[in-house]
Amino acid sequence: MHPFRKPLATLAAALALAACGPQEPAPTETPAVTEDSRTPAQREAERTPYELDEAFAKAGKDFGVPADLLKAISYTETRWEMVRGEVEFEGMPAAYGLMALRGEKLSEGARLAGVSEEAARTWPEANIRAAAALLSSYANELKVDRTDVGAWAPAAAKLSGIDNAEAQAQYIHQNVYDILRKGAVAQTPAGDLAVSLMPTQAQAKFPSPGVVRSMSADYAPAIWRASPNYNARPSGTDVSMVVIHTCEGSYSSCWSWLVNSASGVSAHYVVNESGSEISQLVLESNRGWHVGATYSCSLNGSVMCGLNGTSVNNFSVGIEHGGFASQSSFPAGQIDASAKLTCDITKGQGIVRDSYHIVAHGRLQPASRTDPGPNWPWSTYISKVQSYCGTSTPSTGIIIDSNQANNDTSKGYVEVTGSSWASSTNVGGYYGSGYYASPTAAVSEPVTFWFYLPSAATKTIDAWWTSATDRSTTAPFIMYNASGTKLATVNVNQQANGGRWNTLGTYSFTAGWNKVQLSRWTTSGYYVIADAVQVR
Amino acid sequence: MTRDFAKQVGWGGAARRLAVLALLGAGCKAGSCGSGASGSGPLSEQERKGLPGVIAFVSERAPQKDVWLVRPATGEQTQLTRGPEDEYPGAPSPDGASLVVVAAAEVQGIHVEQLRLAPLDGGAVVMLAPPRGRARNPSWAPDGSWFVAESDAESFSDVVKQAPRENAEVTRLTQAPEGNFEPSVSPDGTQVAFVSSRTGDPEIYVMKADGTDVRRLTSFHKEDMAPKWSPDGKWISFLSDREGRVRVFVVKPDGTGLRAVSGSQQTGEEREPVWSPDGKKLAFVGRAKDQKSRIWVADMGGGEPVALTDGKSTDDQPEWSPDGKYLAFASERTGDVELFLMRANGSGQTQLTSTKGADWLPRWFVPKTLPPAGQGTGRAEGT
Repeated sequence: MHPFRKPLATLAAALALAACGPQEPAPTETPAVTEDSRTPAQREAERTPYELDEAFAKAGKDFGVPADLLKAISYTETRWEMVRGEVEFEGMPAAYGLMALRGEKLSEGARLAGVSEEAARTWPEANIRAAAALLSSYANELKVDRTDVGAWAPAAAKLSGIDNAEAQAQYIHQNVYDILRKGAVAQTPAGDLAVSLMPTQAQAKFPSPGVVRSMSADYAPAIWRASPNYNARPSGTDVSMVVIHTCEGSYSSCWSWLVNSASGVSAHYVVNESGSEISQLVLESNRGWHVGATYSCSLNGSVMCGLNGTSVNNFSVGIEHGGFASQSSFPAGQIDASAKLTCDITKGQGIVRDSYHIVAHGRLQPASRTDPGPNWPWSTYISKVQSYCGTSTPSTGIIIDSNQANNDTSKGYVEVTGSSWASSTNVGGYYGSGYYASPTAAVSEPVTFWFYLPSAATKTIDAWWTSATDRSTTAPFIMYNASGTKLATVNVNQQANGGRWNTLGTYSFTAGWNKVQLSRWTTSGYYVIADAVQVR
Repeated sequence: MTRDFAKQVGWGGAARRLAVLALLGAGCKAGSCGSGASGSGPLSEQERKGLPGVIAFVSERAPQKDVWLVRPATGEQTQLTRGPEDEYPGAPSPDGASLVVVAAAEVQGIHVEQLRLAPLDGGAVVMLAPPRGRARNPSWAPDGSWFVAESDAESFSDVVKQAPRENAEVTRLTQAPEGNFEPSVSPDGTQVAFVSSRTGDPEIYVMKADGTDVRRLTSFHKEDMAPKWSPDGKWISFLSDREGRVRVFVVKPDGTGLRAVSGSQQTGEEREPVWSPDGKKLAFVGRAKDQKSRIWVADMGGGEPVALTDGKSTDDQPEWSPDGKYLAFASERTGDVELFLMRANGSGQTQLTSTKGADWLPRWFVPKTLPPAGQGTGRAEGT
């Protein structure tokens, strides 16, 4: 049934050995990602739902190209996914297939391999064969010793389409030959072997230019690679948005294209596929994207004349990501690194961290842009940005709402005692989706707002209610620590100050489940209102 | 080796449609937009003949997107816009004489949007304001004398108000620098609901139509989005991720009565709520985990929502007929994205368009005068 099971185990063992040594810390996984319920393994498997080893081997044999090199290039470009690229930058045609072939290279490769361009774009075998044929022609041209995998590096660099020497060296040494040395393996969703690349000792025969790295002035972890493609923001512009893009290609090809004055485009930042490297190309204080945004009214049939110079570019910081909008998943490391960067940008620029201010390029460019595609984990991404910035609830604060569906019950939850508490939305200004109301009586029967503290801490407690004339003027809020010791009782007038946070006081809580209770036991003839409690 | 790449085709298109829904205030927040479902066989010719009005939609049959009109009764189609930019149907004017169109283009690296008024009688298209980075989400006053929209003319994003003509005075109704989005005019024209991030996260607000007396309707530390006033003025629908998934909520304009419309029904991520003309029902799209999006309808009178499409293929963008008896929607069930019709109970699902290239984003209304059937006319087909 599964003839590849055994080889898979062998491969996994080999890769485990090869993976010794310094490694990046595993990115933290955020649970309960509503937009994508797949496990990381499922997500990864869906990238390559085909068994491709035979196709790589055959293409390698037929065109005299090392099959492992084809696999390594494919891994670098697409992580073995049949991508269907988009045009992200003018002058750089869309990339297609496992090998990310684009433009003239795709046409020429298809011709040399004797397949149609349509097949080279959409069929895995044809796509691999087109790349192999093209690589073989480069080997002839460059007089490569075909028996030495390391000697193929200049041909692989040429196939990449990267012109910049530093980016070429990065692509060859840190990507293609790095994966040749480390090896990799992919499974299909059915658990069969999709692609296997056994670790080898290949060393690229390719120059490593000594580069003096300068660090980014805006974001310390980023490498500064200046792009000439920017201009000043109009004076008085508040930066208000972070725009998320995908490169529609690999990281190295992306930043090298954007620092090329001939491309005429840029982004402020580019994040690589694994999240291990970020380049900054334009200072956040400047306007990225393009040179001299002087709009020519004679273009476009004069229909768009009268443009007043206002542009999304004025208001935004742009982040490109190595990869493709159409890819079936984005690496957790890349999402993490990008979220940290976006957190930093929003802090520095005072940008609101929500989905109106952290937006997809596609949300701005409905006509011609799709990046980053439908599988970009938006909810996770924005939560991570908030979490890294310490602004999410309950990162530094905890809000416990009277509507349990609104609570993260691992951090805080509400508990109702007795049958007198009625869920209500009758008076506006409540927090979340409504509140509990109960007539006062000589019985406690409280609503309890539980919250968890991992260690003892001094916290300020706020309460929210809706105010009306039938409310108690002495509603009793009682604070307890995790061992059940009463810390304080605060009586509040709920006829006033509704629809906002009202501070009850600051108390020393203990590690574990502390609580704030609202009791019914006070002057009769009124209602007490349990809506929400904030711990900060 | 398998060759089932067909499943990848259309991803880009889906993402683009998502993006445009955001522009047009259709609230397509998560998952893909598209179409596809089941039913009890197509509507009869006889029943079709009684279908009212005309449906404006965006078609991708040409390299650029254009707005087309189709008569649901006959399937006859007419091209409404012919600009070189991509154009999407916004809101029909209350008198049915014209349609606000959102045009979008990229010009020398600059993203540009423009609101235009396209008369249905074939008259010249009116440029309602100069092109700019943000001009979207138009919403009409009931008497058609003005509309509001999202604009960056003077700021990052504000709600502005103007008369529907060229060179009209534009009044800025909001001031919050954190941004103001997605306005919706109340059916009596006295108030405007909108989103603002002024407190650090998006909340729903209501103001008078002159921008004064701003009242906050929602308070929660997650995102409340895309308010839409019900036609009877009793409710405002909105989207919120407060429960960890995006759901359709309703709240009364005084801030009371807030609730999720789908109750305990397993609908998944919800989006694109659209009010029935009498304000008594809300159709919306729900997409459960690992499933395709379906069209649901909730009765404001109570009870659990009902699925109108079967989820075998993606169905999206429900739109009520002006008499509230039918729904148009976009479906991917044929492999292409096409418009379909069904009765308001989900029966009689009938293919309306069949041109190669996606047809989507239906806006169904009664035109002042029916446009003449033009070139490119095509017959509707039953499924």
